[in-house]
Amino acid sequence: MVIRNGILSTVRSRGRTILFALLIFLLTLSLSLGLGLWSYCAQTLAAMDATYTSIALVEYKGENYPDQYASDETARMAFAQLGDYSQVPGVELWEPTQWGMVLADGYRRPDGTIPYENRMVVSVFQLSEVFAFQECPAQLEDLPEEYLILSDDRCSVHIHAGVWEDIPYYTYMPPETPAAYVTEQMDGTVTLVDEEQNLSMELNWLKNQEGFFRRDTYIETDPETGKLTAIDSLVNFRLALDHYQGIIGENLYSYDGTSGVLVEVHPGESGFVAEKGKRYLIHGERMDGGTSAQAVVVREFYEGCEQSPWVSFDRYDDPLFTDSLFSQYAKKYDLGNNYIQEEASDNIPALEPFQQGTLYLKEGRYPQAGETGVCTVTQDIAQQLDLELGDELPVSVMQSAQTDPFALEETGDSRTWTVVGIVNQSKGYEGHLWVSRQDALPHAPLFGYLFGRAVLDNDEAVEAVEQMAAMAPDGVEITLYDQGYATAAQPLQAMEATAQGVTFASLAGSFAVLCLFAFLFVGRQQQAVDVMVSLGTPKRKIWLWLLSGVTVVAGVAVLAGMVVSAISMQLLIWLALQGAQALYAADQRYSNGALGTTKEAELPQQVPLWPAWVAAVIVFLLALVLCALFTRVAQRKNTLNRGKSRVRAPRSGTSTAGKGAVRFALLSARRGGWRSVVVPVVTLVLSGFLGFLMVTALGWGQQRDTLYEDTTITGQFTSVNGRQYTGLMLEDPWRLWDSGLLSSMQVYDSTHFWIPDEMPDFPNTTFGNKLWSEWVSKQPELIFLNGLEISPKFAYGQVPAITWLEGWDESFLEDPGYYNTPQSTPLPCIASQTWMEEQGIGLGDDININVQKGGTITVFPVGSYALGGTDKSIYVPLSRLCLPPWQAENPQQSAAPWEYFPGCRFTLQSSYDLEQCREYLAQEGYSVPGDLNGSRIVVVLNDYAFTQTVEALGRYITLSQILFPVLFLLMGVMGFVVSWLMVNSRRMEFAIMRGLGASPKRVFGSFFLEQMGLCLTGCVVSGVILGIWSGQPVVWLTSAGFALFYLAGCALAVRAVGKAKVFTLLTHAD
Amino acid sequence: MGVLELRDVSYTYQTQYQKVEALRNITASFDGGRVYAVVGKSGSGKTTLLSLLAGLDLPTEGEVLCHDVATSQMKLEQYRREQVAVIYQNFRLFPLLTVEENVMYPMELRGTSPKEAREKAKILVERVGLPETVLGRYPTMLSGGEQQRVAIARALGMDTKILLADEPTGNLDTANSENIFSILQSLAHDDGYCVIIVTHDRTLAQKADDILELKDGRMVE
Repeated sequence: MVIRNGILSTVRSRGRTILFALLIFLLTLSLSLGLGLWSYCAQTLAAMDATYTSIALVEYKGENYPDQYASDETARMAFAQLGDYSQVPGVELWEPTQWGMVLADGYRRPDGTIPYENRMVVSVFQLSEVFAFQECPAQLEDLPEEYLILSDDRCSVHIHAGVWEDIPYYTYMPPETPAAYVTEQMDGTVTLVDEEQNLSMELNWLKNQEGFFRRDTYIETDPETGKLTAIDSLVNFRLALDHYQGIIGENLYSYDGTSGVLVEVHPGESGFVAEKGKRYLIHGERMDGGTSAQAVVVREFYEGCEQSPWVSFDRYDDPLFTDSLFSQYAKKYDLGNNYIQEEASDNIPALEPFQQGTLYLKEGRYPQAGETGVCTVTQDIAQQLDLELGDELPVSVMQSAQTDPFALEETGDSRTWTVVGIVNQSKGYEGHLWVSRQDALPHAPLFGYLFGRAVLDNDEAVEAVEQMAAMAPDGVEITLYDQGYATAAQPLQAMEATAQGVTFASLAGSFAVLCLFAFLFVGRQQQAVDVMVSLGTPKRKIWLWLLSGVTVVAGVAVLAGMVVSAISMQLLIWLALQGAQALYAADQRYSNGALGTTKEAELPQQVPLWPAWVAAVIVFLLALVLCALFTRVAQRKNTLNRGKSRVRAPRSGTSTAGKGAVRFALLSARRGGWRSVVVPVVTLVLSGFLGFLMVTALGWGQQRDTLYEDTTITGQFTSVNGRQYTGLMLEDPWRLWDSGLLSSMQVYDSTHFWIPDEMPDFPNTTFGNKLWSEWVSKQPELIFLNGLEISPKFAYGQVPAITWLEGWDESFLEDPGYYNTPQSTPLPCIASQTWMEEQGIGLGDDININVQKGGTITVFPVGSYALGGTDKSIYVPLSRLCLPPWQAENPQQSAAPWEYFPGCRFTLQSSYDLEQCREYLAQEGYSVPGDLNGSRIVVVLNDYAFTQTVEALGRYITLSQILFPVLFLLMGVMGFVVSWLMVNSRRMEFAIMRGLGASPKRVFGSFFLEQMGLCLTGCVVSGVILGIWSGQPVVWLTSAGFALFYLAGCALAVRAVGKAKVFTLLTHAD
Repeated sequence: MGVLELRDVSYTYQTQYQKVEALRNITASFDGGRVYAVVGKSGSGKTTLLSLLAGLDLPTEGEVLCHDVATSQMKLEQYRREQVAVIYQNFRLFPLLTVEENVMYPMELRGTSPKEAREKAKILVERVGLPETVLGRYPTMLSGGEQQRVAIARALGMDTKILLADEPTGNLDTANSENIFSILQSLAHDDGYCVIIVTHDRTLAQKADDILELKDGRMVE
């Protein structure tokens, strides 16, 4: 009965019941959807976090980058300086590069993967001399009686048959022939033709008589005046010993291991001279002799080796074949050619080739961290050694030499690993096996440029990489590979943040609405409580009476909310996801943050339903708890207890301050006690909260604007993997300038140079040319560029501080004034102090250099830098070679002088142009890094950190744009409700005033002014605090907006109370 | 012709479930210098009659006349402010104003300066038998009898000659009731007030100069 009456008395106030049931339904629904979306995003992000692996590669961009087996001392020095990245927040695992070499019986590396393919240690016999024409310098006064001088496509012939001056020299038969000319056939036969004399004479005999010359011109610098002079010289073609031809006897080592076959033996620089009938054991290098026979150049074992690379022998049982440097090297090559590379890691799937999908497990598993005695091998090892999972693989541990990773020596150590996994076969990864870090082989010297790899927390990857980069020594580059996690996670993270906002807003809204619900439906039931108390109703039954009605109302509403949210959640989450993807999906094309492969995120199709019932339970329990609290209030306030409260007389006694409505408002505000404190506190908190939100959102907006204004986005052309900026082959990088989006472009080109006296003499043979090329390639570079940042030495790090000659700065590199200047014009340059000290020159001093592609030039340093190492490069203005399009008068002036530019970087005019730039690049067909199917022109924009920050700020801003109006409305409604309650609690005073004949205006003024004063006090305080804290005058807008809501509530409440019958109020019992 | 007059007054109102005829064709006249007691059982229409006399509402039929002018022709606030003073059963004092301020309030409504109103309030409080010490206290600090005296003082402060009292002794003990009634009686007899008391207390009613009885909204002769 009690319950029935309680329910009936509640639901009979229909309007109020429907309104609150609807509000509770909506709040349950929004809480459920907020929770559902939150849990969906969290669950999906957790699944993605488990699926995606972010790693950072730490590499040194050394001279021979990306040669993974280079022995580079500067790289080793930098490696030694490397910090402990395992301490960087966000780094889950840091593993410096650690690999070793092992040998397994029966394993042969496949063709093309062995390091000593060109080395030969063979015995040769039956050697015979082979002669060929060679070029020798000659003087004009050395000319014999009969001769031919060739000069480009003209020649002069002086023979007994006559003299022909400056006649054409054809290497092919022209369609129309002049009267006299010389022609060279494909087989090298040179013929003089004079049709007038009806003469056709073969001239090859001139070569045998050393009468065949070519005119040559070179530039020489006068050492005293420094002037350049073109010197004419002659080159004489003479018949000389070119090589020996013989037969391979015992083959200690060669790629194919054949013997009994013809071989050309080129003496090279070795001084090898074969005596007829002798047998020789030689160490050399295979070369292309231009014939079908094998060809070998005799070469020293290593630079400076005292042991001759050739030796004669009589018998094949000579100890030379078993115990000599020859046999040792043959063995070394044999061993080195069949190495198996062992790599140790505690997270093998996160090693770059696995993380990037190049390698993957075909069978079995990877060795786990701490696991010993097991390994995973590549398929070629498994196939060659006929290994299956569970089989044992015995190996001998080898030790690499300091300078050559493949120069292996036995360590005497051996291991036996059980094969637990087999990975696919991929080019470049033949003969590899992986073990856990626990099973790592003794540390080998560092080869190549990969210093290590860090496994990162996906969500902290960017920050971790930034911190790692800050710790890195010069020349070390950190590259993040996140498999596209950031791009895939961004919409979900944004959605999760929104869902959290919706959830907390719904909880706050629920609390506010349920407070009001409890107050109205329970707290104000004092009369009923009085009646029940007076009738001796037990406390428990009073509780039941009060709670039964609200339980039904709240129960029905939350149940409806739960059902509707469960039904609609799938659809709504899908819609939210679509919206978030449209809003937040970051464009990462061409970004340095999107290097490598990208995984497709699989979004779960099923949406959990637990948030529906959890939300329902939360709202329902909250309603019950608040109603229970208000039940206590209703009982405590019942009229039977009235008069127990203590009141103090006002300290100031009777007041005469103010007049009319203002006087009453002032007195009420001053003496209102908790009521006069609640209003300013509530308005201070709520308007302050809104102001804080607005200031924060504005701060985000300003941060984003500042970021856009202050950020310079650069980019560069790279290798396909996006990591190599230099040593490329860019035919026409200037095309990018046509986008109109760039503020600058920097390119470089380079050639080698040397000091004129430094070049040694090289024999004028094929091998001599090869040696010359090798020597030149080791000389320092003369780099033509229009900005130091693109320099191959500085492209991966910082440009060092330059000391300038007075009046000079870096802008000279962009000066177009050096274009088409005479060769003799001295060029300003930037050089390293080390090199300048070596040459004994200072800033402003001229020095002549011979340039690989351009004769002799004079340079004078105008800037110098101090850099560790032995950098001897010289930097000169690009305009000496070509002009950028904005300085050129025609496209020819911008063309790459030597076919390609090896590097190019550029700067966007504005970071606002970033998206437009991406579009342009895509439209023009530039490839993104990692796109092996695209064009070979790959462009990378260095925007990752910028884009991440901008996207994050954008997310917050959008979130605040969505949530702020909702929260503003919610806070406003709360203010409205508070003011309504405040005024309604004063109905009796209102009635007394009216009863005493106060005018409606005065009554309105009395209450409104009081509430306005209290409300504005809170708003002003919050405005002042936030204004001072943030310096944003706009916070006053939120305070004013909130005050409007509050005062509107107050005004409406006063009007509503005004409509009540004064007489009813006044004559009411209480 | 009395100070106050009811001419064929009826008052009907609509509740959620029914139409209630609270007063039916009441005709009566009230003069100054006399105490009237309106008696009747609960629901007979006593309080409704008082509210019409107090100008809190208008009759649905007939007229309430004050000095021959129908209340329907007046501004009710002005009528309440200038013509009638009402003492309610539950005193109806402003809880956040001191006794003195409560008494001053109607005077201020009529434009009296605070200073003057304050002096007058002191006199009135003294007149209803309260000590000066209560002036600075809040009404909730006083006993029921004291609060009723304050309500009377406030009514006197309105400076009208018509005083309406709704169960003025309803919440008081006998001693206090008698004191209050004697004050009202003195106001009528000594100062010429027209005092109309609505009560169901027959003993109190017997002390009035005239008794009007209501039954089911009708005047009983």
